[in-house]
Amino acid sequence: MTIRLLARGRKGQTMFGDKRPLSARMRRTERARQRERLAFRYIGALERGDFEIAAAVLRIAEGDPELEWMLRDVDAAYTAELDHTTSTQEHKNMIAMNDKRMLKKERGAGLRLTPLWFAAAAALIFAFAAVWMSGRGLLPGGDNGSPNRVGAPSGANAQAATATPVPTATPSIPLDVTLDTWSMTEGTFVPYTQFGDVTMAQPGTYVIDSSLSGLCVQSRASMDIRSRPAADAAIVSQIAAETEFRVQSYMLDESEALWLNIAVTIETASIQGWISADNEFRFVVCTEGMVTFGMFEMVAPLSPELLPTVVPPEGVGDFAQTATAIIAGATATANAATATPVGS
Amino acid sequence: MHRNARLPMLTRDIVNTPLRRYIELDAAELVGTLRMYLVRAGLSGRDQSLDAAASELLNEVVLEALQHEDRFRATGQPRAWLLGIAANLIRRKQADAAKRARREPLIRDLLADDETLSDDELFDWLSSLTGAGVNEAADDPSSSISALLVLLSPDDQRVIRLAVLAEVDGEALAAALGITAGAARVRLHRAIKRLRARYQAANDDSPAGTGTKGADDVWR
Repeated sequence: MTIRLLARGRKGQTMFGDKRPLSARMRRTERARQRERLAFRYIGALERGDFEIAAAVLRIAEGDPELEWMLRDVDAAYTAELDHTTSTQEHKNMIAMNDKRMLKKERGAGLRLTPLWFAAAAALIFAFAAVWMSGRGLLPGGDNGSPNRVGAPSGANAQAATATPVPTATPSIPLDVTLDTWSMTEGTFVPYTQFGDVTMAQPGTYVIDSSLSGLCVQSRASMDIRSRPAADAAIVSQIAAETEFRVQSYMLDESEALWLNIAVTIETASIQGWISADNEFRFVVCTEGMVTFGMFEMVAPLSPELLPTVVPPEGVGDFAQTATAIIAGATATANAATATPVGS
Repeated sequence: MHRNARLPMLTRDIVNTPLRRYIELDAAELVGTLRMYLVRAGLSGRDQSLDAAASELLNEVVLEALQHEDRFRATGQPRAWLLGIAANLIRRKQADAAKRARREPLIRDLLADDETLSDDELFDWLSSLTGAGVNEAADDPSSSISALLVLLSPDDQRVIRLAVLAEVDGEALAAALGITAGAARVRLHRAIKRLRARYQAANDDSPAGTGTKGADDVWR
């Protein structure tokens, strides 16, 4: 049956479309198999880090474009794997760094509170003791005697402990500012920082809080992925509309243009780069678990000249009080700006 | 006289245009491959960052290539030629690192030769499975091939079955897996290496002489 079908074809043509004679096809198959073997050998060499064998295969590939193409493809697969590993590691490092910082902050807060709690507890004990002793007439002077005569030294100590906060941090290290960045489901990234009730743009680099690692973003239209956060940067790749990606960090430049550093898998390649945030997005939870919406955290130190000029109250090094002062200063600045007539 | 003096320069420029063009246009892609080479060679993160090491290696490769530009064949593949230079430079770096670590590089070379033979053996073994009836045998739970494949994860089993079905053609395997041919070939290589490792471990654990049931006659 097969012979008859073959015979119906034109001379030298099989029913399978390959017009070459059988011997030529066999030779081609053998060559293809040899190339597969060499690619296999090349992969083995890369797996072991044996560059003598890799060099030998490359030498053959110099004169064989098809083999060269196969090796190029293998290299691309390894490079994509490396990029993915690196980005995952970087992401992990970033989260670890963030967690570490948060832990340090929490510990710092605990340490700050300790003397205050200690002083308050001591004051309470003395107050209760004084009340109890005066009730039982144990204090000299009876009901008319002042408990302060006994408790005065401790009370003074407690007051002194309360009035002298322990300096902990300078206001210029990462602040607890947060960014309202998106609507819940669809919307745009808004590059503004909240200082209390004052909204202002803050150039800098930001990372996503680790609690947001399960959040994905979808593009509404196709967008260019660029190598740097700049409109003139090289285009690395392009994401199609409705493509899901993760935002790793973002950057607000001096012109208040917002750029998102994203990681996206296109086909099998893991690609990282920058896209302009000047687009509409859809926000989705892409992993199981709790996701807290709405906050990005600033990690880059704020540039002092970007902050409202506020002189911290004397003797107050406590961060919270300084931040309150900053907010008050910013509010005053904003009010002054509102009160100034346009064009004056 | 003047024309004769200019001729070699002109000829070299014409002959090696693809090489220079490749270096100019595809340096970024080359750096990516060199980064991967350095990681594979175990030379990353020693004294400098990976990107810095890759850039430095690229400079060395280009310098070497331009110094010996006359050796490049006009019809040759510039990428393979440059990567060949890179591979040799990496070998040199590996040898230096081994010397620094007071290890004999020859030991590594000997091991490498042994492993290279293994690669060919593995490939031949896989090729030998592509004959008629082997696919059916792989699906038969009582067959010796199935006895081998059962040692693997379902993903690895699938890759090897598809490779047998595709007669070890990377392109066909890639089409079946829905990934690039390069990724498919790497995945196949790793699956076979894992199969071999599991097979050896199973044999080491089992009482002497029993081996993996029915597998010895397949694993050649």
